[in-house]
Amino acid sequence: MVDAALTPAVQQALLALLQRLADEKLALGHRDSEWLGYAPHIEEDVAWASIAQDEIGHGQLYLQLMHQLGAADPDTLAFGRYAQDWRCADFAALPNGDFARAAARHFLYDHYDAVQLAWLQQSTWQPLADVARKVAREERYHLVHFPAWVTRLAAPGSEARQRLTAALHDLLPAAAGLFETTEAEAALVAVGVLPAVDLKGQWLAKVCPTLAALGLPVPGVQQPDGTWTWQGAESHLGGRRGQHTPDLTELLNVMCEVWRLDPAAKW
Amino acid sequence: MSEQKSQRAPEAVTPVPPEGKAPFYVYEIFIQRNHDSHHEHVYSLLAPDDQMALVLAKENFLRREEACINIWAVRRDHVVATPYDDPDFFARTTDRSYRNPAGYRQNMYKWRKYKIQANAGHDEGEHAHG
Repeated sequence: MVDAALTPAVQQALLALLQRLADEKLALGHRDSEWLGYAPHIEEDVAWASIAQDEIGHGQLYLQLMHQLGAADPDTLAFGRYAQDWRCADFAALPNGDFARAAARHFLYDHYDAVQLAWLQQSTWQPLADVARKVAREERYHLVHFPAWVTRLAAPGSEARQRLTAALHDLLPAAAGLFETTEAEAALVAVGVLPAVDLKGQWLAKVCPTLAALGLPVPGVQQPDGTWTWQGAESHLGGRRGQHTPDLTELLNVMCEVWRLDPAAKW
Repeated sequence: MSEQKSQRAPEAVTPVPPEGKAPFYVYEIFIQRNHDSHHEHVYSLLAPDDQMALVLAKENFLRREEACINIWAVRRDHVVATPYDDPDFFARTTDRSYRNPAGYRQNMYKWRKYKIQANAGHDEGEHAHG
């Protein structure tokens, strides 16, 4: 089914946007699922596995919107592509590493998702705004869960704090990939399907004060007018244009292993 | 009645953390499914503090619940309890059957009788006015 109210160009741009939204959720959700059986204690194991299901469920919502716009079915979209056809920022596909690194990555991503979802909810294409509203409600819990862990892992003098600090030095440059804009998004802003926003500035304003209050590395610097601008290195760029690190290939080799054995199998 | 011997449940022992690690505590978790229902005890979990207990309770005990509006988390060693080794605290050795609703069966007939009498009096009054 194709939305007759949309021009072919807008439809193509929406498909590209939805693909990268879905891919980032699916990649992160898969990394989350890798904690199953490995989290430091059973309660966190269950909680993190549940968060994995949230993220994969959100990815599925975006894939369903793509399907409504004429793309393949969600399973084929999720499992039937190789890395060169994925459009995620590689930040979402980075290996988990230790608990502090994985919690820090999620903390940084969830704050990104929060500003992104506020933006998507303003879309004039109602199906996208509706899905974003749904996703944002479930993301509320993530925004409690991971800041709670980051705060505790930052406890002064602890081994956890050393690991968290090292992880942030590594992760903050990689987070730059989340703010790469694509032609499709620019096109949607140009025709008014989405408003023009400064996601990076909004994200820095949320993340920097929290990290600074804990004495941890921050990705930005505050200007005299109170706004925040990016400061420091940038890495892991290009994912949204299909230029990926081997991390994504490794992720997909595991995630898609069974599906690739027999793509036509009925489940 | 015997005196309560201890204020704490005997099994409520704070776990001793390994050297240099943050302590974790056993929390008892209660959930309230809607505004008309009580909080119900669902299970217990280990958490380092109050906020984490609530955060972890949500995903551990609400996974299959249709709806929930509130969670209580109570550290087990903050629960005051009667001791198990003092059964006389609960002793009831004389007849208290009059406390059961069955003991008030006669009331229904009495209420009915007085109600009829009262209504009859009221009706007469109405007639007198008319």
